[in-house]
Amino acid sequence: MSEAAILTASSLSVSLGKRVVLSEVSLALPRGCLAALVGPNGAGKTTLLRALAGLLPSEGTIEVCGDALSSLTLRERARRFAYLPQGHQMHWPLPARDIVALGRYPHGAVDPARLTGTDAAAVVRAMQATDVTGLGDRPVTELSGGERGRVALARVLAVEAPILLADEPTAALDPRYQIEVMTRLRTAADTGTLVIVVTHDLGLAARFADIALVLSEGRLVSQGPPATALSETIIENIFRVRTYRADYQRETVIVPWSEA
Amino acid sequence: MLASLGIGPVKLSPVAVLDALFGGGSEVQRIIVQDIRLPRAILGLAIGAILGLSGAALQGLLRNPLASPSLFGAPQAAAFGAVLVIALGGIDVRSFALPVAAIVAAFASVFVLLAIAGRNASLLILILAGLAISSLAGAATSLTMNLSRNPFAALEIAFWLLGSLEDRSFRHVMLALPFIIAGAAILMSRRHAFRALSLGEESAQSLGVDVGRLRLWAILGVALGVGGAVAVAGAIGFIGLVAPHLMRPLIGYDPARLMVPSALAGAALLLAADIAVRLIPSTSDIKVGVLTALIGVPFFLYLIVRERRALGGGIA
Amino acid sequence: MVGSVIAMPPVAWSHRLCKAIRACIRRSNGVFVVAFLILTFAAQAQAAGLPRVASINVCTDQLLMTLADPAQIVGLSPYARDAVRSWAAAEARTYRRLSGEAEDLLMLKPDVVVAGLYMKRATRQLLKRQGMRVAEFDIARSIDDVKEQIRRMGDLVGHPDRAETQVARLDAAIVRAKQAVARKPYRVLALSRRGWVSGDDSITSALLSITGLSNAAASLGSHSSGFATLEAIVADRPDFILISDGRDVADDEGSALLLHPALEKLYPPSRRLIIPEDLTVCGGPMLSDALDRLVAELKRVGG
Repeated sequence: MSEAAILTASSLSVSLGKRVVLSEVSLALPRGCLAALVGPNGAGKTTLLRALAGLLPSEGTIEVCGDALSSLTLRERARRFAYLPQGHQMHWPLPARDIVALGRYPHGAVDPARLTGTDAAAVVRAMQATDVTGLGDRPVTELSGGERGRVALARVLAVEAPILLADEPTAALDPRYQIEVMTRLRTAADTGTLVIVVTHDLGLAARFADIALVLSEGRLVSQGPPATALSETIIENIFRVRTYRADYQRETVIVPWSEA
Repeated sequence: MLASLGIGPVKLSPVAVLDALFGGGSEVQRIIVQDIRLPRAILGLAIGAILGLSGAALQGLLRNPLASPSLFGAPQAAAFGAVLVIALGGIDVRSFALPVAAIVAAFASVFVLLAIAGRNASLLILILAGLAISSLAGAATSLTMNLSRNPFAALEIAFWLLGSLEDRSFRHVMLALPFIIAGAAILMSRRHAFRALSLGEESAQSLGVDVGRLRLWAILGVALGVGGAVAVAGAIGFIGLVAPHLMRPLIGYDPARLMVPSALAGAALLLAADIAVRLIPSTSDIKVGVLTALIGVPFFLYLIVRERRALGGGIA
Repeated sequence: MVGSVIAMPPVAWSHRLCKAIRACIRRSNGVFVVAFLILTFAAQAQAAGLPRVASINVCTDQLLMTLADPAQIVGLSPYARDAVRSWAAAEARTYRRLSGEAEDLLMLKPDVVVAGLYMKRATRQLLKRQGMRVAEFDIARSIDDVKEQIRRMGDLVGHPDRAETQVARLDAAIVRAKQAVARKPYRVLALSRRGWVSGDDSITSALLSITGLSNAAASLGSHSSGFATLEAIVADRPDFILISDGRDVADDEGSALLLHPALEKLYPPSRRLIIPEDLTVCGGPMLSDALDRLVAELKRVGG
């Protein structure tokens, strides 16, 4: 946390029509950090993620690796942010390897059939990291939900961007895959990437994240290490649930328990 | 291609055709092969190719196997643009005003369609909007022809709405080809972006694809190609729908890799259809658009059956 | 005024008066004047006991305008004013433009409606059911047909003398044409938009044979009119093509065929005989003009 921030946002606001979706959000996050972005439905989590990546217009300033986001071209942004949207859409039954190779698109490798050595190596690394090497030739539409989730993750890892934004990557996965996906993201953070994960699972957030960001009604109401940022009071006020809390193997355990 | 040169009302042996093509044979044979059959074959290839390419591009853009220029009313709108120019009068049908008007109309129709359908258009909305646009353009074409003082309106309407390659000349080739090539170049240059789009617009944007601009380019490419084609051959439908599907079992689903084969398949399809209309014995000329529709519509229905689940759910 | 016209014996001076009034109409655009004059004419025609006639076909339009008194003409078909196809288009503007449908005819109550034998079948039947007299004219396919139709229309409008004048005029043109007959029996193909070819049973064919030319349609495999393919035309290679328009402008794709490079190569202007459409589209008084024009064209191309 003492390192210099790689991503800073100050007074970030987003309005859709007259509705203010995000209001005056400021944050600064360093390399090698896994940040969990939590908040009730409609709090503006996806909007914040997309605004950070420059995928929708916002007010305020964003700085990434020392440059103002607004000064970067689309392609430069694409090299700095790997973005995994919700639901991992895959419209055509392309082979899994080609999907992963699309992660190299921002680096100029637009044709998966013709990758340079660097690009091919990045694809192999990403596929190994997510354990999908064996699925390379399978059409993605024929894969199971878990397999598809891993292919989607491999695609964003293949970008090898300094910042990885993932929007509910664990949704609709069984517990094993949830843990698996979070473990991969943790690994990515441990190797120097800034990872921001949107999740509804307070337990996973508490267990894997270095920092929790709590968003409510478009405002960042709490940020810091999960143990403090996800305190009993905050969760009760924001999520309207009481939690069961414990320590297990020196990690924080938070389980939503009853309505507040 | 050779078959197209070899077949016509006047019987010429393949040897005579080749001979005439390269400057031999009698003057009449040369004229028949070089001035009548060759431009027809070239237009068949070029128009078939651009329709196939446009179909593949639109299917890639919308990530939807039912997308095609004719279902979106683009050729019909282009025909309307061309007919409007003719009806205004004083303009030779062999002038560049015709393809330009057709292109503008085609651009407007596809633009309006995508604007109506919105960003995450469902199949159903796209097809309904396309149906509305093509019906409107067809009716407007007929009305314009009727209102013009041309007493042969009925025949001319049939030409514009069904399309034909009959008796086109090199002047027509010159009229259409620059636009077709420009359209094809634009669409081809965007092919990798169409692949990135298979992850959805958001992901594509995050990979550095400017999706808004890509849409405009794609519409422009389709409009140039289809407009140029329609200006000389009328509205030939369904090639763009069928061609990519013929190639998918062979090439796979990759929208970028599908484009060149789709163009080839479209060229082959239209050329074959144009040969067929010359072979089918009939008292008057069959319009090639009739044949492509006869093949295309049942195929479209089959696709609907296959995609019924997606259609029923209203999500694509 | 109306009364005074009726009171005078009309037949003797009617023709001169008509001409004067026609000139007057041309000069004045006053709707009232026109309406007033039509009323006057109508009254006069009735007084003369001559039938009032309406035409709903462009060919009967021409016959009617040539043979009837202006007062007898209740109205003409919409195409009568088409400068390209109607021989007397300018004169047609002085008459009422009918819709071509039954409604206005039922209101105007002409004594006779003249029509083509093939067009507007439903309209003709409706008019007949309403007790109206409908005279149908077949398409003229020979010079004899044309003479017969001129005489028939002359009888119908009560001016058989004028019909005989027109027949004599046509005969004179035929004599002139036969004197200037082509040096060789060139094969000529009468070609229209989209490759329509006039067959042996057409007026055009009759005109060709008068000037000693032969219709090439026969060797294209068809004695009757029909569509010919461009290739068949090029392969058959008649000596001349007879077309209606010498301009290098194609108004639609149908007429673009006549400017196809294949035809332009084999048929430069010196191989094209041009007779405007309004002279050949019908069989009627304009045929003498058509013959004169054909002779002039033959002279131009050196035939």
